[in-house]
Amino acid sequence: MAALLDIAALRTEFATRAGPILPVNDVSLSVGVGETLALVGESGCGKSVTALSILRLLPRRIGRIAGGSIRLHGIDGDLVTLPEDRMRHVRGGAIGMIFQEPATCLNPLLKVGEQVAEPLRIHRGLSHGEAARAAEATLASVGLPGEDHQAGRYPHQLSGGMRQRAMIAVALACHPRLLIADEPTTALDVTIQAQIIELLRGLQHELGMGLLFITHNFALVADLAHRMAVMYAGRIVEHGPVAAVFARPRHPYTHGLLACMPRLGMAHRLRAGHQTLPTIAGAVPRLDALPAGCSFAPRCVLATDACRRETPALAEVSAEHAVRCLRWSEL
Amino acid sequence: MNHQATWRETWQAHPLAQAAGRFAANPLAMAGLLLLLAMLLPVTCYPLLPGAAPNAIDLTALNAPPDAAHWLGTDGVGRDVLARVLQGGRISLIVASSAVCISMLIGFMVGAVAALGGSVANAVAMRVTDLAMTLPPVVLLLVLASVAGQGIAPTILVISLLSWPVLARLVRARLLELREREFVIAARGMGGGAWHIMLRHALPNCIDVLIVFATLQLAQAILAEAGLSFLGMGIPPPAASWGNMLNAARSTVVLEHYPWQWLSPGIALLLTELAINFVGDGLSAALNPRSELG
Repeated sequence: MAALLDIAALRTEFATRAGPILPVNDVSLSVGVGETLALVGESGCGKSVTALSILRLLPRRIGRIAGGSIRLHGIDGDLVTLPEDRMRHVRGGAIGMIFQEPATCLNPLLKVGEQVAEPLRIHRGLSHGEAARAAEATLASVGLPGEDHQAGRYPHQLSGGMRQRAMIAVALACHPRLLIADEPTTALDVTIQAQIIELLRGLQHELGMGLLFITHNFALVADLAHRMAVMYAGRIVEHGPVAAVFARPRHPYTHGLLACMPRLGMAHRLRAGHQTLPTIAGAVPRLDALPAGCSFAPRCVLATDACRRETPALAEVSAEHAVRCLRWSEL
Repeated sequence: MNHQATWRETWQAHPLAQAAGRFAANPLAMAGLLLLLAMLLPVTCYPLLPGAAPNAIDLTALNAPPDAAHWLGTDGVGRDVLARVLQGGRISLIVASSAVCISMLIGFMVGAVAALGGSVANAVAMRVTDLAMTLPPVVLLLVLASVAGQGIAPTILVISLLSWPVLARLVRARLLELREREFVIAARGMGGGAWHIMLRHALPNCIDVLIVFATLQLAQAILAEAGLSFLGMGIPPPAASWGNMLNAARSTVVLEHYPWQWLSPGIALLLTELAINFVGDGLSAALNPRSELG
């Protein structure tokens, strides 16, 4: 599969009072044309910062990309060093992004149709009327048809699911080759979640775009993604095809996360007290106080002295499956 | 669904339409608005009337008290006080509204540059603003007026140069908050540049600040104009202005014996100020519904 997005050894640095921290540390990943890569992990492990780094939308004066390269098929040069005016055409043009909270990502004072029309006017130079018509078509393609006059409504008149559809329409208006979806369904009801995922799957199929899907929901990963990458404390600890990782996770963290998923039929055993819901003890370490060696070692049941001394490199399990653990072969 | 209904429905959902509804439900604000309209109508329409002659001299009626010919009496040289109050109101309003427009433009631009530009732009813009705020207003007003000279244009300039810093700070504070809001980040994420952010996101989301500033500043500017003209640094006679008409009250003879000559512009000024302030308070409550919940 041809690589659409290729990130190599990306390091993103945040300046804090206690000194620089690395929310994204040596991250390499790629997304192919028409492929879905799921980026998974607990809160604060660097998933969203990775997404913001790709678009260079890091908080000003605090965040900067300290190293690595980001290449997008069809764009000459490295997105990390691309001049700001060319970067503007990448954002919303070649790469679309959907954010987590549809309620706050739409301007409350502009009609939905105008907000969908905006990227078209910016990137395609369409006139007001042309952009409005194209926006209607885009809204219809995400399930907000023109006969309902949704384009003329303000965000506060729409339900959460409709707002997320509108947000998707904004991201897709210019037919980007890559769509980054940062937990697009976390703020929605489960029933709406399923609709949105179905919509994303359909649109991806139709437009043939690559999808970088950020989530902490393994059910969605299994449902939607071809490959997955698990992040922990800024690093990718395991990546590979979804089926292979689910069948046999090689990193104790992935293993733990999968074990934490409630399963069908678990409920009555939980009630009867035969079983407790498994958890991973401890919490993600603070990035300004990372332990020496493997970041996961303090929470890991398999940790040895060697784990606490050296940071493991990515080891190849198979051609497509890699893991950052010294003891992966024992799992 | 026909088009008319959609249009009305859309307008009713617009945040400004909802604010207008809250404004209409506020009796004090509506009273202020009615009073203001009652003042504005004669002030703006008066010169269209055939008999309008604020500078005409009636030598048969010097210092005449109010009667059928001169409803508010005449002044020391026989000019009709009502005509001059209306003419003075026109000049006051022209000066004040132009000054407010200019100071809004400066204030918004400075505030937006400070909030959305880099750290250097922020530092420069805010230090200039601080400087403009630190200068004592009356002294600055008088110095500027003596440099700029008398007349309508210099008066507008002087007043607008004095009033923008407050707005610049309000706008900066609003935009600093807005800058971190997700929809602005999302707008940058879809490729919006600085102008796009400023015109499509910053300006509409500052509209409440701007409207309230404009009304309250209008009242301030009318007072400032009256003050300057009273001191002889604003609108020079023979052109009428409420300020230079009040100047007549400096004479004890006029103060004691011809009260209509200073009461009329004084009351006109008072009522206008009151009306604008009621409207301004009403607007600020209507545009920021949370302020009433305490």
